[in-house]
Amino acid sequence: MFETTQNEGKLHLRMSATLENIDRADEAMVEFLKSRDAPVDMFAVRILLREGMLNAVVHGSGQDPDLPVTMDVELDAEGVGLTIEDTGPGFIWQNRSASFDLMGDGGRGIPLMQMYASRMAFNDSGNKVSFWRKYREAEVCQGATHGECQ
Amino acid sequence: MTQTGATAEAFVVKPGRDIVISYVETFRRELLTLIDQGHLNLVIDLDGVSMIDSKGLAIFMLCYKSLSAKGGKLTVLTNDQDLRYLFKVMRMDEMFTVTESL
Repeated sequence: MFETTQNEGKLHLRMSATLENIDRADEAMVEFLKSRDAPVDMFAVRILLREGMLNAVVHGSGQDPDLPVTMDVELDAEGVGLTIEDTGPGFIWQNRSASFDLMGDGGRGIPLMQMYASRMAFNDSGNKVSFWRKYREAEVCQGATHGECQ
Repeated sequence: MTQTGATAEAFVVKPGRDIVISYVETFRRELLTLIDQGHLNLVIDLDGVSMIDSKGLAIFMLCYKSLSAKGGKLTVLTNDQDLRYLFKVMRMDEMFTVTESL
């Protein structure tokens, strides 16, 4: 399953929890954002989509194709919002650290989200994450396109 | 299929596609096979790569650790500023060389 809906400038995706659909969601979002001609930091938003979808598909849904994952993309005057939700039990995001083991094999997902999102929030149960990334033109300091001016 | 080729001093690996979760297992096997074959001076050329996710980054660290354990060396080749910044903020450029040219 991979369903795409566009309504009033919003992109809504509903898809099975598969790795292939992470790639398809990435492609659909890039196409949508390019069509809106907004000054989006595409690399930053793609990282956020990739890490949010990876959490939802792999950790939240166990790559079970019978479980749905939804993603919403919406532009506002100053940035782009991205919300990803799965039906899994979620996780205790409050315990996740922004730091990571440089030599470790994992644990980079949450730090990447925090580095590239202007704002991010999980719901209480940890199965829904919302990102907001400001546009390039709204940024004023050098390096801000990579989240250094929060 | 990852393109590979040898220079006088190094073995160049060119995945030519995004290094993300749907591809990392294939890429991991290819890199470890090359290391097992004795290619201990590896260059990963990121031409054609526009995205690396957290699982992809982990493969670079695995490759770096495998090479280091055998006295080898990893070099990442890219002139993409977003990818160069990604390696910088994840402090991987402290482990191996990330350069625009050899």
